[in-house]
Amino acid sequence: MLPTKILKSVVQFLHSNISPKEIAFGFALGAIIGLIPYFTLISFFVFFLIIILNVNFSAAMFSLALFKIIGFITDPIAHKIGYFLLVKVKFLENFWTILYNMPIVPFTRFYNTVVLGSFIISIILFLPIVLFVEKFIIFYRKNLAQKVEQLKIIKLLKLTSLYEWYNKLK
Amino acid sequence: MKIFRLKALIPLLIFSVSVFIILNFFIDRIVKNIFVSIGESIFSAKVDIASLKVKGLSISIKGLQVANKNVPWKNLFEIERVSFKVKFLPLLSKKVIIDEVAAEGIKWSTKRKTYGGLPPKKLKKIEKKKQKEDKDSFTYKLMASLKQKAEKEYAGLPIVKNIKQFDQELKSLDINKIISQADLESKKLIERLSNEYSQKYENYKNEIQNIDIEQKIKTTQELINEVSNIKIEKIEDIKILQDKLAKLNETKKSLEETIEKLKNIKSSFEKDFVETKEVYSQIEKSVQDDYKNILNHLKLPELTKESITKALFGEVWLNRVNTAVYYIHLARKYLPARKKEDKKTLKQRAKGIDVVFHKENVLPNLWIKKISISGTTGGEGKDNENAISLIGFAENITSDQIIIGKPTLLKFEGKKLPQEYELECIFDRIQGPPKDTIKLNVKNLNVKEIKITDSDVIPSIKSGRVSLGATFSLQGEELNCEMLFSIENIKYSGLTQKDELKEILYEIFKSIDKVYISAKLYGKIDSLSTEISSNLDDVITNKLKFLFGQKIQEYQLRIKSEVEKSIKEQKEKFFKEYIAKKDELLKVINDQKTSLEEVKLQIDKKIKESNEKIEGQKNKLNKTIEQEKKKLEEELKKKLFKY
Repeated sequence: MLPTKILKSVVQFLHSNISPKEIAFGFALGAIIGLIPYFTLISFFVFFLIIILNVNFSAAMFSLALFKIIGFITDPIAHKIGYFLLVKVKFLENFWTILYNMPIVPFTRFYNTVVLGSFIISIILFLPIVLFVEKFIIFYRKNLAQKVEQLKIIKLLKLTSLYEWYNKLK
Repeated sequence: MKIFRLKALIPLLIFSVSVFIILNFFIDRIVKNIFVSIGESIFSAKVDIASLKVKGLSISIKGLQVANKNVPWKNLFEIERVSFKVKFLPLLSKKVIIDEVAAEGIKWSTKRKTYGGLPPKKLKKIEKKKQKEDKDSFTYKLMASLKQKAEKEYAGLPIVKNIKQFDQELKSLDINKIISQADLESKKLIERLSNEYSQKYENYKNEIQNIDIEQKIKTTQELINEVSNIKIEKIEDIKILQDKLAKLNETKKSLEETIEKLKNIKSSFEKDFVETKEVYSQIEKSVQDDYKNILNHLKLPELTKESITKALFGEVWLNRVNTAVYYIHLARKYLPARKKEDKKTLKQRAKGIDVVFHKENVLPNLWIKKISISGTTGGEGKDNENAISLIGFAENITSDQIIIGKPTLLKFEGKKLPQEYELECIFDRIQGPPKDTIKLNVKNLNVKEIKITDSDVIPSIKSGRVSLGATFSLQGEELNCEMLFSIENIKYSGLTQKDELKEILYEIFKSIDKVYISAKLYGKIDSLSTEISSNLDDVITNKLKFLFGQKIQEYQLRIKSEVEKSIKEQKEKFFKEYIAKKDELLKVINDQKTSLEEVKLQIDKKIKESNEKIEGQKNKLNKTIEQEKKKLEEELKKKLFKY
């Protein structure tokens, strides 16, 4: 049922009147949490941002799930980036040492190579994701939405919603 | 576009407050789950906590049990109560600093009420994670090397293999077949002797018959009668008698010759027909020779000399070392070493690497300054009557000894005379390569408290006193372990199952009431050397030789008995005939000799009588002649005087 729910929420925000920017930013923020392997202070902070900012929550959750899967592919690359920054770059050593021994900051687990690398990747990809998703939604709504509405699976989903609503009324 | 979701602010606030309140209700459970999760990932076994209370930054735990992953129905250790307080400010920097921990009621190897193993899936996940974290760890490789060494060097038990093989080889001997196939010289000898003596008997018998003693006696009797019948009435009768006497004398000489002949025959016979016991010993010697020949051709099994101590205790010793190395491995993993000049340390994690950045004059990530420990050697499923109360402490459990400048120390001891128990561990990371030492001294502990061997070669020990002094030391990558172990006043339980092998082993061990073992293991990972020795080697080897010597002797006696059995009938028949023939011939000779001597005596008597008779008659005649002479002289005188 979870895939159905995810599909439903995707269809909902694609076919709704929600601002593409909201969806795009939500998606990009979700990607940050998705890529970082552990639940760290960064993840918590980004989650807080998703709630407090006017971004689409469903898009963020969908993106989180999607980038959790993509994370398996990006982890080795993230590790290499993190390792390079944490271990190889000597001039950053003092900076990291200060951060490591500060209050609160260690809870971000920045000192883990995959966490740092994934965070860097998600920051680098943040704007491109926002721009791409925004453009995609605009394009989708203009050119594909109506065709997709006619698909049997979408009708089935709608029926499922009606059925759930009917059950609630009962 | 609105940037902030103002609508979410209030629900967010409500949500935060709710979370805060819920956390307050569930913080105990959350922290408990965290401890259980950490414990299970460290020990790869179930961790149970009866209750955990969080009050601010103080944590109080009751009923902590950590199962033994290798023996899931026993606890590795359990602690009745643990309480500590975490300092707040360092916690903000993700540093756990605890001034003092009180751990009361520590016990180990206690019985569990529930199975202590983790579900296979969870265990697999933990082991996979550990493998990834530990794959480059030296101590992890060392443990694998020790395990391999134990399996390679001490697989199987030569002493038992030896005994079993020996027993099987003995049992597979088919003595009847061996005897039937053997060409017994004793059988041939009996046959030959039988023929020989039969022939000799016939020869002697014929020789005696040829003498025809009866005829001689008859003839002699007749002659004696003739002499008896002679009456001396005239002088001519004397002559006849004298002739007869001369003949009788000749006969007597002839008889004496015959007696002499008989004596010679008897002497020769006695030479040929030796005493029965001499023939018997001749046959016995042949039987012995047959028996020796069979033994020479038969290959009886042998016991090869093996190091019994190594076989019995080698694997257990290596496993004990491996256990100590496991604890050292945990110490090296969670109390890592670094060089003072290192600015950072890398730690492999399940995902990525954690880089620890070192700084002087800051607190380490973890520092438990002191743990006050109290406990007992007793517990569920243990000997509580003789349990010793123990007290001790652990100091400076820290993730960075270089910062605090002190090694991690653990000391734990107790006495209940005559029992003594002392454990001391030092994990030093301050200078140079890590130096880890575990020392254990135990005196007069009940033997049931310590597992001595995995082998069931040693019969179950009912009681005994164990003393142990062991040091396990890993200095850098060099392992150095020593142990002196003794069990005294050993009493064994009786045998519960009838098993020949177990009976033999019980026989061997029951007289051994003291065992002293000395063991060493030292070297680097690719060149580990073990030495292990005890008083058992000589004692058991001698006992085995004696017991198996007895068994071999039994078989040898059986072989001898079977050889004798195979010739018994033939031998008895031979001796029966031999004795009968010998006795018969001897009787004949003796009877004949006696008869001859009787006749000789008769002859002597007759000759004497006859001579007396002749003398008498002679005297009579002489008297008559004298009388006639006197008469004639008288007449002559008368005639002369007339003239």
